[in-house]
Amino acid sequence: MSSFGARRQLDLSGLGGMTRRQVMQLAAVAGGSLLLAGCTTKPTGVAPSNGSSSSDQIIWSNWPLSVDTEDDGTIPSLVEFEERTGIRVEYLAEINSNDEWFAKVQPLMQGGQGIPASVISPTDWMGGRFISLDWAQKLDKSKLANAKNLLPAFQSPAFDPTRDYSLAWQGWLVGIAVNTDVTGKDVRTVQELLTDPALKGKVSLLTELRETTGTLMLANGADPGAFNDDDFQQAIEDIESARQSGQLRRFTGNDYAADLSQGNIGACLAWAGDVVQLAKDNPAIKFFIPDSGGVLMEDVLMVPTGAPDTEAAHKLIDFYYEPEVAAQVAAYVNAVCPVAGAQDAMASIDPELADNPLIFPDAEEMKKMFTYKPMDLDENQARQSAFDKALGL
Amino acid sequence: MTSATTAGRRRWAPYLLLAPMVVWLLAFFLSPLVTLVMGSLQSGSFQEGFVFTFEVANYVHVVTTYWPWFLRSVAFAAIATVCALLIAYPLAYMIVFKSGRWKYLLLVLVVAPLFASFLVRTLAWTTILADQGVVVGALRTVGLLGPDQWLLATPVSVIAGLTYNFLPFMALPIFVSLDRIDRRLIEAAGDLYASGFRAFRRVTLPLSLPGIAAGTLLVFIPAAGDFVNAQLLGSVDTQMIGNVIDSQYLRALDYPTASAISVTLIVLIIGLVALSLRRARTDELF
Repeated sequence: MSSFGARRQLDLSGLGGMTRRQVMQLAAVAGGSLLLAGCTTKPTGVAPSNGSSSSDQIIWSNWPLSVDTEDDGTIPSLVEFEERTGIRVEYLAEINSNDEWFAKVQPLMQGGQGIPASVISPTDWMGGRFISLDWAQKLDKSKLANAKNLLPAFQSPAFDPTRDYSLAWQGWLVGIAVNTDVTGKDVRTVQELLTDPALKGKVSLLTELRETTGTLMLANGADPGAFNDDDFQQAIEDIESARQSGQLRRFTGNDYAADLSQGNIGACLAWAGDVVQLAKDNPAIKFFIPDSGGVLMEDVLMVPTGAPDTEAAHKLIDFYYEPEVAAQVAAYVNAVCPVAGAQDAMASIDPELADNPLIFPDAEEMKKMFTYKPMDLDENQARQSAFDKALGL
Repeated sequence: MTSATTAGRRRWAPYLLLAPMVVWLLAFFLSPLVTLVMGSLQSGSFQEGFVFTFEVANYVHVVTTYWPWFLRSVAFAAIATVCALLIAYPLAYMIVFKSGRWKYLLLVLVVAPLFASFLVRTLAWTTILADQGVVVGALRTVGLLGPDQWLLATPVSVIAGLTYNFLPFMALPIFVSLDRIDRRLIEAAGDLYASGFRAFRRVTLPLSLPGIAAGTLLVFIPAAGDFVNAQLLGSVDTQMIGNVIDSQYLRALDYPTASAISVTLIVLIIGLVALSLRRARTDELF
């Protein structure tokens, strides 16, 4: 199976040069089927070994390819971590979609036996769900000397305002990606995206509730961090009318990468980290934070309740808050880096990336980024149903 | 005495031989199915927990709300099955009767796509049917598609994906039943002054019907429940019932509704299959 996995990644890089989110989408569409399980993720349910060895090996549940990875699959930062601390970390790329991963861990967490991972990195809202279900441990800040490097803009997210439970792993900024070969011009506003007749049938939005409705609410002047029913309803109606007018071709996960580079789509909602990589291969592809603002999502670093090794988990989290290590990861993943000092460290790795505002946004740009409000399960279910209805489900 | 033991052994032997199969069915078929049916009759919410209340209303809700998606899934699957049959029959026929010593190599080629992941094969179609691709270009040249029309994100691309992905499951059973036909029967038809076409219609085709029936089932059933093709090649207007189950289960966390849709789909498919099999048996078509 593994050889097919490798070939698939090659195919995709041929399509668009994108790896991380694309693999995520691929597995997401597999919908829990085992098709992909053998290719991209290691088997789950690996119980942490008992006895003496449990202290030198931990599991980190994360997204595929969300960390610096070499062609042969080795992860240089984790190799260094093991050399320094003697702790071996198994990078378990088992989160292909938050919802799917939740369905998998939910029975284990609810039943009280816990999951084998000591550190988990789902998206912020899923982290928030863990906190509200009492499935997350408070972090011991005395063991996190480098936590002071957390950038101010990341210090009080709505899902964990005092950062008691989490630190940011990577930021995923949502904005408008444009293939100027198709559009012949830049697309900088959501208004243009949804109504410009020149883009008719050449537009896609994301299948993710928060990314899409958040961006649309911002365009209507509402704050996704504190919106009401009317704001949300308006965003849904905007989607409906854009769909009925034939403006929208489809909704995508990160398969927009292929659509965009092939020219099937001219402009779409996209994650900045993906587009940084797409743009490397194709200069016609550009990314804009909408004038009305963009939604900033984040993957988190959290320790679940009942984690096999809390001590080692803290060491791992602290390690990734060293600027040099964070820069090393950002150089591969190209997501927004939440660690202060990483930009300077990046200058010696890749000066061009160090100047990239999509990886290291300055304070002015951070003002254009908004986070989505935390929702309890009932509200989440209601909003998700309304959104899915607009997706034709 | 000995004969009694032998008789006893003889009586138990079939059951013992069946035991692994029965255990397998209980563990991997019956218990998930029972869990699914039980789950579909629950009420409550994820937050408060689901409880079994024999909530038949779930089914009323599912049928009244989601019948268009059921209808679309059945229609897409039926069209894909017919397309697969129209492609697979001539293909299997050529392989059996015309390919000589290349027969088994060609057969391997039919199966070869199955060695690549289902997702990769489906994603490949986004390249094949791309707006700037060969297929759309050709259709535009001959005027079948306007300059502002495309195939991706339409029912055409979803059905094309379904047809392609399940084609080997149609071709293989037809190959087997054609391959088993005694050639002397066709020769005999010729000796009795049947034309080639008439021999095909009266001898070959009827004898290959079991293959067609098996292939139809093997294509129609998975195609009706598929959601990958609709997700990658489709759009809002082409969502199939599998996509609804995916959304209800994983995104809306409405486990009872998702279970009720699944059970309804199973019943619907069994019903359709039983109906068509009965028709196929009673109709003396040829």
